[in-house]
Amino acid sequence: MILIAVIARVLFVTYQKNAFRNFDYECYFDKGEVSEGDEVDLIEIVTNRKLMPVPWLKSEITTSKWLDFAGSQSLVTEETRFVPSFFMMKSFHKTVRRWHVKCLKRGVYTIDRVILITTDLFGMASRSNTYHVGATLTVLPEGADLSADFDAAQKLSGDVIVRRHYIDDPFYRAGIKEYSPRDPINRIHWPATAKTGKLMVHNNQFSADQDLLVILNVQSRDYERDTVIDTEKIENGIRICAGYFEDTLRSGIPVRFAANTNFSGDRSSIITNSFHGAEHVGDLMETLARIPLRSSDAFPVFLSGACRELTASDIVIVTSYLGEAIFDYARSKREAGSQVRIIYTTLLTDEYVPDDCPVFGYLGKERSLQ
Amino acid sequence: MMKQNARVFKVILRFSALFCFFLSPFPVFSLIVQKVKLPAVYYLYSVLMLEFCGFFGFGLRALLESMRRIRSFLISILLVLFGIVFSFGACLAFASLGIHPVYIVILTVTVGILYIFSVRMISHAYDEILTRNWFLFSSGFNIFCLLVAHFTVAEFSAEPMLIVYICCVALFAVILNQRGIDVVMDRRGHSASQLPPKIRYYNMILVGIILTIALLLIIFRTPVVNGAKAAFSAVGGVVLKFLGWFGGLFALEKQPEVELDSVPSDIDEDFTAIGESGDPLVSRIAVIVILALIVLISIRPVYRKLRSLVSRIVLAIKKWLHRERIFRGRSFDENEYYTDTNETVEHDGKTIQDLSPSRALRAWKREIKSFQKMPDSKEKLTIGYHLACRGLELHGYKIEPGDTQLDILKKARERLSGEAFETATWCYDALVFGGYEDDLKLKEMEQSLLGIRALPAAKK
Repeated sequence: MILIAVIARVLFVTYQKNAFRNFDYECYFDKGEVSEGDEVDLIEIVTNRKLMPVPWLKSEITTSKWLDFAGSQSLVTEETRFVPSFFMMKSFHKTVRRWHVKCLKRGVYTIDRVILITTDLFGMASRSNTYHVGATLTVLPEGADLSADFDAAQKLSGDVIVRRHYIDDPFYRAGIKEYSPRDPINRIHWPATAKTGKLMVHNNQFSADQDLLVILNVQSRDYERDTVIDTEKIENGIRICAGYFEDTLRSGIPVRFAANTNFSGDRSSIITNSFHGAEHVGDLMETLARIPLRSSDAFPVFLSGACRELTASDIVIVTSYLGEAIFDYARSKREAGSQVRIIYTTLLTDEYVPDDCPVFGYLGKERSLQ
Repeated sequence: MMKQNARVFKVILRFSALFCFFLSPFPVFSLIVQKVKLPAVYYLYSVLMLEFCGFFGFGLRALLESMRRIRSFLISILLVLFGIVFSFGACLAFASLGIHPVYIVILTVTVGILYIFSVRMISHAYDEILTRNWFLFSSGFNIFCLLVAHFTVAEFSAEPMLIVYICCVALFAVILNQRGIDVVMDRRGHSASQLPPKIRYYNMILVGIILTIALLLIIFRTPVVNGAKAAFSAVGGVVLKFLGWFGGLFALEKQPEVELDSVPSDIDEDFTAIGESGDPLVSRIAVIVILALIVLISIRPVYRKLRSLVSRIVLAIKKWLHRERIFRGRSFDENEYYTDTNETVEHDGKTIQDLSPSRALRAWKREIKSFQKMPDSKEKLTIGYHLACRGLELHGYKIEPGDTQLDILKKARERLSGEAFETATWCYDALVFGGYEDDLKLKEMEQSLLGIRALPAAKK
């Protein structure tokens, strides 16, 4: 009996003191940046570099519910996914566990710390330790398909908006035409004149520096304060913005982004520089990934304030509700020479849309596939 | 399948726990067997009697409960009736032994109590049978019986009681261990299916190792205690010598010539012969204090050294076992949601290589021989190509998982002369991606392997 008591005591003390001695834990994602719907591996590496085995070990990973893994083994509460992971660590043993994670929604996800819990052989001594892991994963939004996912509010027939400027571009030639008194003399096409016997001039195209401004409204309803109520609408908006950004990669036009939200929680807004290229678009996508579901300012105030001075040849306003302030802003920008489109983040049903404002409803991925 | 195994495992544990639980009254039987001086075989009869009694009550309750037509109050009445009849029968059986009526009464009452408990065990899970309370009761009961035996039975042998007690405690340790796993899983509502495979077996192995050490300590307690005593007295002797020498130094200052000779030359184990001029009590206290200090100062470094030594030995054994592919656990475990890769590591966390380069090369050469003996087939070509790739790696060519056949061929061309490997590669390529002809070019593959074998070994 004394021997039993001694052995039990020795085991208790040994586990209590040495359970986490010469013991390493690492946890990280195998990729730093992925897109919505992509799969990524969450890797846990547990190393027991000592003689004493750890017969039962549990790591408690707490992350966002939008990182889907561990299925029924995980516990989801509101926005959190709690995943227990069990190990059996022999002496001088290393286990590398790869969880297959599906990224359901855009965002920047971090696993700051993981709690490890172990007990001795007889469940007498229980030890826990917190390991700071700092695993971060950026899930970029999946861009909407700009060619298929939209529905126009106006009739397809009728007025067509065309771009025309006062002065044409002498470097873009569309062909030749008959001379008119308004044409400069230096544009006369002499071979054509000789051939036709009439004065013929070069017919030039109109061109302008094209750039795109995408304005996102992070307010799902017009009377909404700070926190977003209809989150799915805003997520749709973010996807639409992502679609536009991706599109600029193909066309190569500069793009800038503005949104009535920020990362710091104050009243400032996001307004980026206008630039082109993969790196800039990558930054914009990361910005979209990080956008919190919280508005910093009412959208009409944002439009009339921070966005008033912003100009671009093309302006896209992505919003979850429509209102006179938005239409007024669109009209004013059109009058200033920009081409403006308003993208409504859900299907257009009974919303009032004035005839002079081009509004498009977002069908959503599922609907557009039907 | 895993769930079914776990269920079977728990059923086995439950019946083992019941088996041990029914042996709880064994000290009474052991005491009476020795008091009445019955032959040794009666220990076995006692065990069988107790098990029969226990499983009879348990089985009877289970049988009656399985009959749905019988009402619960009727079950209770039937159980009581059967209990009375069973106790009466046991009483008659004990009486037939011709022992004193008091013993008959004691044994009958014991059997009766056991019957009552066994009937109640029907609803108990494996970890509710052998509990901590049971352990405390059983230990106390054993001590009580030993004390009674000490005062009432001349030449009492505690061995039968001890053996049964150790067996029960061993099973209790296993149950405690398994219960620990279940409790920590249930506490937060985790399913047992989330546990790594074979965790229960591994835990049982660990418990088994500890129990074996405990058993060895019990069996060899005399030499262990004697060894400890000898070590302690040896250290004590050294301390005594030191004290004598130290005391002698002071004495030297006063009476140098006389006191030099007075250093004790013969030191006995009782520490009484310290400095003839000194007080024996003071000397003894000094020795104890110094010993205590030595133990206090040296216990940690000694423990660390010992731990490090044992750890190195175990690691060396593990390495050897790993490389010889003996007792190697599964390297990969797959679950619905994750995959595990298990590795053996060294003190610094580096993974132990499966085989040393020279051993791997030897193994590869052996595989070439078995390749040569294989009958001609598509499989042989595939095996040959894989062997060639491994051979190239063993000879210092770094082959990445993403390398195509062409990449590998380009690397091989650097030092491998002749067209054999190229021909074999294209043949293998055609076999994998389609378009191969009947000629498998196995001769070329063999030539390639022999060519690779002839290459100089990779530099370390």
